Amino acid sequence: MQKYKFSRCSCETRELIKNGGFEIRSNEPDYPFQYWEQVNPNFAIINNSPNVAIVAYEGLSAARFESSDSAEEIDKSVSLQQKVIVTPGCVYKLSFAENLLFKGNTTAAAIPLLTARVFYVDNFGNDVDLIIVPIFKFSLEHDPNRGYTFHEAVTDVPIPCDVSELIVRFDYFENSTDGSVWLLDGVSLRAASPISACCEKSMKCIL
Amino acid sequence: MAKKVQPSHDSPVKIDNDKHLKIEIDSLKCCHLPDCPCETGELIKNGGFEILSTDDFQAFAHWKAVNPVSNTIVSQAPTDMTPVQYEGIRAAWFRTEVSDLEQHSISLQQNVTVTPGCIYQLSFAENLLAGSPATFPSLVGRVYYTDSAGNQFDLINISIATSGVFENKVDKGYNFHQKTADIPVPCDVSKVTVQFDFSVRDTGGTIWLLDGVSLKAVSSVSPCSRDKCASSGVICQTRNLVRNGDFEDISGGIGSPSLYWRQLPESGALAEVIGYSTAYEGTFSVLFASIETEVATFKSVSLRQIVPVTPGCRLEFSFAENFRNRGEAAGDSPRLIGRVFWVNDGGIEFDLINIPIAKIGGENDEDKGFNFHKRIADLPVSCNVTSVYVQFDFSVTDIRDTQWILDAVQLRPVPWDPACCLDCKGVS
Repeated sequence: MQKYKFSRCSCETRELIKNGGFEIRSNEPDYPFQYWEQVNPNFAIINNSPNVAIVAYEGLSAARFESSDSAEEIDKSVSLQQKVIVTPGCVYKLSFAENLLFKGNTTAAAIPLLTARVFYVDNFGNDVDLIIVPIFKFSLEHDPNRGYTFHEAVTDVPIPCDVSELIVRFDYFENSTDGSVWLLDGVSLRAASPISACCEKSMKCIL
Repeated sequence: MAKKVQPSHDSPVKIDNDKHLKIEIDSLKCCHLPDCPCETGELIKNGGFEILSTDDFQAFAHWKAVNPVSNTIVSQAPTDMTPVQYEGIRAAWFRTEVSDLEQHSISLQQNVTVTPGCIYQLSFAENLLAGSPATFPSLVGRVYYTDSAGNQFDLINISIATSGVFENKVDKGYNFHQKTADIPVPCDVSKVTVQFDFSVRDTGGTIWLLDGVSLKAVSSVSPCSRDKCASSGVICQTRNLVRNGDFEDISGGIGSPSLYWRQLPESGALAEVIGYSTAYEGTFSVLFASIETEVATFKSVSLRQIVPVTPGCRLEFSFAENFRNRGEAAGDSPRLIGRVFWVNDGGIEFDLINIPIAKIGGENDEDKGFNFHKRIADLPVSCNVTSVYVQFDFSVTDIRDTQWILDAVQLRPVPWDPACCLDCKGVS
């Protein structure tokens, strides 16, 4: 008979992000893709239309951050997020791929910014960041339409022992007249440690 | 002399008459604690090159540029150019300026304190922004230690050259690279050097960007015995299980475009896999290509390697691909699927990892350079499985000239405890 080890202290071994490839669209308000919530749209949206030409990193679809054109230079922003149940005491690794398909402009130069974040909300309602990956695109000549770039980041510390939910969020921002198009795909969050530090603490055999 | 403490059934804490304290612990209630933990955080300082140096002779804090030849420099973006970075707002710019000599080179390094016995992983992103054909620029990322005689031993070596078609490599955006050492740091070594060697033969004008440098431990405990600190735990070994995954050995025989790899079917297909010289890392890669037909026809071919694995280990699969050309009448039909699967006695295939890639974006996803892909299997290798298939399935419906490059195939066990055992008391 096959035997498998079992540990009460284990972190997750599976993928924690649902629909990280944005393959499943949603008709639910504020959810352009299943499990993904659009937050605070301001002259920018997550376009999930199947009619726009999509360049996919993997699979057949991607999330499309799209800011609208405007007569004047104004701030444009939108966020896309997913809440994830995690194991306290574990370390987590975020990875994703992004592709600035089209870079907007202003009289100066628009600087579109995509920031990947993993954070939790503490008892006082504050966002506590565990991972921040800011991606700026300054160059109109060398940045847009260069294909996808893969990113990976790991939490420096384990999840606190009283936290069991993380938020994975992508914040898009730019100040522009002509809008930009930024693609996101292949979002993944996985445990990067096999054993929970909280479990170790509670079970640690010390005086 | 202390009196012997008598065990009690109601409390783990005992105090004898001479006020000696003893705490008894039921081992079944304790998790195993690693005695020699490897680092859990980032070991590279200023890996994003965000912090400038206060030293007039160095550009970036914690980094040291050494051995410059001719007018070769490492700096932040020059004032007359727009910054191009992977993450944050700065990157390291390796640049050549006009000089009498054609040979240009420079190295950028950082010394890192590590834990003997631990296994480390190097990651970085690079972008060959500008250059000229036939100048042979190269960038090599290395992690090495130096012995007492001054010899350098590479633990990790990622070589990026510009063989093949130069235009396929220049100004294609950032490429992410990641490699794990096949062996742990020796038990008598506690310092390694992370170094990037840049070289080119030109008369100036080459620019290669580096950003997002990271060195992290991937093993959780060290097997080295030091200060009575040792771990006897068995973990899955992290070496690359795929042989010739970088396709550098092109001495494959009939039906084999590269050593250890088999093309399926070996002949008669309307597509083929051939050795190729535009590489993601190293000098060679393989190219999936459709064979010309008079009308648009479905064509497919696969590339396979059978890989021995340890039952119970979780596998991490990675590779880089570059959709070089959408062939005539190919439309949105090109597909490349990276798979890791095993086959049972009945011939049924069970996927552990499946990464489907479709090129449906018209000209926006054609010839955009390499994309790095990585996936960890949700399930460990079954306890009765000792080998898996690593396979890439290429297909397209076209008339001619669809081309897709593949390179840097890695299949590495995650360095955790294997999930299988013979006598454990877990679930069966």
